[in-house]
Amino acid sequence: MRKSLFALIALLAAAPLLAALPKGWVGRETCATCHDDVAKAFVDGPHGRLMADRAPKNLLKLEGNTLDLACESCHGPGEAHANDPSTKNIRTLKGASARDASAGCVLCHAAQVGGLAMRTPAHERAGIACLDCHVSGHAPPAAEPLLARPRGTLCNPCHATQAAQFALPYAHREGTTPFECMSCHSIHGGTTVRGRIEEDGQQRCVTCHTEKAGPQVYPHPPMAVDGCVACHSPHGSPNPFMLNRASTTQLCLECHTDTPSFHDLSKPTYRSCVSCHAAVHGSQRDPKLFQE
Amino acid sequence: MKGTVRWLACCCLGVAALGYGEDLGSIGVGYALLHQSGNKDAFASQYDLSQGLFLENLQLDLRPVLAGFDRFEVKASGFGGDPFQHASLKVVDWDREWSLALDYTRREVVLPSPSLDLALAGGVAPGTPGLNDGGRFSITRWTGSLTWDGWKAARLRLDLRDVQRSGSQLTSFYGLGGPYLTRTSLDERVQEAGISLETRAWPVKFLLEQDITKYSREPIGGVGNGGQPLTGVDPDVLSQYTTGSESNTVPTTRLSAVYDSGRFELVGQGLYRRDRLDANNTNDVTSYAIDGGKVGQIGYLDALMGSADTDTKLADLRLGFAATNWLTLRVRGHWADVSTDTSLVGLTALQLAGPGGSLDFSVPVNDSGYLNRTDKDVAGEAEVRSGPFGLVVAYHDGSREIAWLHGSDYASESVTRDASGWSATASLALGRKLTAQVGYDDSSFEKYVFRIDPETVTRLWAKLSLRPTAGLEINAHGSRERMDNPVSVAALDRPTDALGVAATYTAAGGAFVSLSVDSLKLTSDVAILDWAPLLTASVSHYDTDLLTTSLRASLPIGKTIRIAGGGLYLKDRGDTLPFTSKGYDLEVEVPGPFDTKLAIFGNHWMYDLRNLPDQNYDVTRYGVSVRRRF
Repeated sequence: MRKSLFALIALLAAAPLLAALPKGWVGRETCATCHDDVAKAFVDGPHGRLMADRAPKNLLKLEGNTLDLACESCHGPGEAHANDPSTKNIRTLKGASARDASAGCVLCHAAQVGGLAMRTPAHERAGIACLDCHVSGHAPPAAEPLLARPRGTLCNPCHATQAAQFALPYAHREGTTPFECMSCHSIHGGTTVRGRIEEDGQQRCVTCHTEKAGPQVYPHPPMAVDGCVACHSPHGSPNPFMLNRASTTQLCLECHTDTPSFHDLSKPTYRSCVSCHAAVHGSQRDPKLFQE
Repeated sequence: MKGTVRWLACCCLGVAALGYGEDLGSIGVGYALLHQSGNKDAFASQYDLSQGLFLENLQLDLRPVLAGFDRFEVKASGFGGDPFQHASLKVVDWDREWSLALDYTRREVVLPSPSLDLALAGGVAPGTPGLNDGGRFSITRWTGSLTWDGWKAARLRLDLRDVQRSGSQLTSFYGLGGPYLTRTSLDERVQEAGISLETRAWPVKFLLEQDITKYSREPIGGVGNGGQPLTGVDPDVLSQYTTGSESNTVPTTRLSAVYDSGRFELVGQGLYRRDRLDANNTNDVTSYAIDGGKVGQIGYLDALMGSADTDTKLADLRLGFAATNWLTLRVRGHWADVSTDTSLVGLTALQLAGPGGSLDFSVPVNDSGYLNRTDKDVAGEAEVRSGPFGLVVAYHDGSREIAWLHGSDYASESVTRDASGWSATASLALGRKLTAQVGYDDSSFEKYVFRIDPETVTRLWAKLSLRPTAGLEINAHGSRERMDNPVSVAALDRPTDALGVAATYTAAGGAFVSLSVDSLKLTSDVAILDWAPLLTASVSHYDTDLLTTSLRASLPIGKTIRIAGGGLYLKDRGDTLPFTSKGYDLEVEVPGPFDTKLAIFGNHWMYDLRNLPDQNYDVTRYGVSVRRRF
């Protein structure tokens, strides 16, 4: 009864503001009348600070001050709840699946959610939603932007095999920037990685390994057709240079069954292919890839 | 570098000492010592952590000092005894509608020694002088973006990128009857500028991006190991090894369109890129001084100009339609065409020089080739959701067309590889307490670009996530993948099995403990032909059986002391290159003077490569960090 009275007073006090709010919405100040500790923690947190920073005209679907709309963006319109505080007339999100709880995110982050559904359909199929990786902003995040876990470990619970591969002797070390997952994988389907490397996934490696980008006068077709993963394991490998095989000879011979007869593989001279065919990524002058 | 660290440390400690109040930032500076036994270069090629002063972390929020900005953040880490260095600046001023982001990273890399590969080949004994490491290089990257948000109809963004790679790689090669070393320079530079325009006034949002990238590489050749052959004293010395330079200017244009009405969603993309590479090898020399030069010189000379022109065209279209509350349909189409034409013209020569004069045998070169790839792929899927249950069924059909002429001495090749397949994924979500997914993929292919391409690929997988009580999370996963192709092609047989479970418990006070056990078994058999010394049928067998066990824990004691640590045990039980790797770390953080926190830390790594003990190491790194919030 007492809470209802406070809420009613807050509603009256906020009357001028309500004119700018969507129908049925009461605004953050009204919510804070009863949930002052929760509202303050949110406003002082990183999500609240970002909302306060951002001019509302830049948001996609909402009118009014962004921060005023914060609570009801996720918990739904609060007018009925303000008039009659009950857990039955507001979305509490307790026990809700990440997919249901993430429904409010789309109001402001439509592009990311759309991208998740359209450009990373595997996540969508598996029911992965915003709050599987991000926190809402009530509790402190483990890392920016509002991440539920530290950046290097965010994807591990679902992608445990890949996480284990990062621990292999030759690896792009997990958690060591820039070898976080998103350095190569575009989770939201955005176009943050630019230029030549955006052509397809096989081209991601050449952002750092620039000299392998090509083109070459004499390309090595596996690299030109299948990309770096034809010979390398980018997450990690037991083998030097993150190769898919322990020795380069084994790797090469699986494709090259047409080696000339003088290649007597019982002799060490011929058991390390790259000792002669050094330009395995392609050559600018040598059709047999002897020299770069 | 140490100067940079000192400068940074002094600046930050100075700022901290000024006491601007709360939430201005934090800094951590540490000093580490390293004790190593065994193969130091193997450790460096895997971790490359060294001793000395390092910047653990710096975070500055300068808004209280520099009024008028919505965001003014500086971050840095890793300068000093760490192979990775990072610094960033983010500035936002929403009143004037612009934001700026600058990012600097530098990564030091030590390459594995070529002796490992040579030792596996049996050509060079482990520990051969001149083969301590495979060379080292660093990659320095600067990226910057400036965004202007003041136009209601569109957002404008400018991006700049500069990547420099410097260092060298040691590569072994067989010269005059034995293995020699070349020191290949990795000095190259990529500079890129891009401008993008993202509309937001219309129902369909367009993103137009135009980039221009300039790539250049300096002459890369050099003599390693003083020109001496690796198999011991040989009178014939590699006296000169030089190569040419490369340059490429690449414009890229991309147009993306996104439409989302809530019920219909459409994403389209078109991309065009043009590579025009010039390879200048007009003065390349590989020469040997016979008997140290007393007899004379034998040299191979190239005076060649190469070019490779690539046109890349790509189109993507994805359409989603929410037919009902419980049914969503999606269609995806992808087309990519990458066509490369190459040419090489000039002269290649053999030059013999001795006390009596010199002889040149030259051959003109006029060669050309091409490599064209065209990919087409269409896919459709239906997603059904009902309460906690979900089911997605998908079908795809595509092809890859390859046309290739390596050079005028080779026959042209052309193949079209068709692919089709389907997948089904079922999911269950009972709130956040339990989520589970099971999926099955099945794809089959016709014709082969490479003989190791599979004919069929099947994959069954499952994931389970449980949150039975507050703070406790249990994840489990398993997958079984099979790839094969017929005996008439390569008798490919590649099974992969993965199984793992991880449990994490986080207590209210910040204490946590996590344990994960993961198994990955990957085997590959491919029929090959082996000349040893006669042509015989053989099998390339590769077998890894990896078991990874990881334990991590953090325990706060009171409000000021924290103990954190963990261990990693990794064992490959496969028969190709079995090894055991262990790593442990422990850190104790206690209150220090002047509102600081002191962290005493230690790490230990052990690597045991059973068949090549020359690569083993045992390394301990320990030290102290000073941290302060201000």
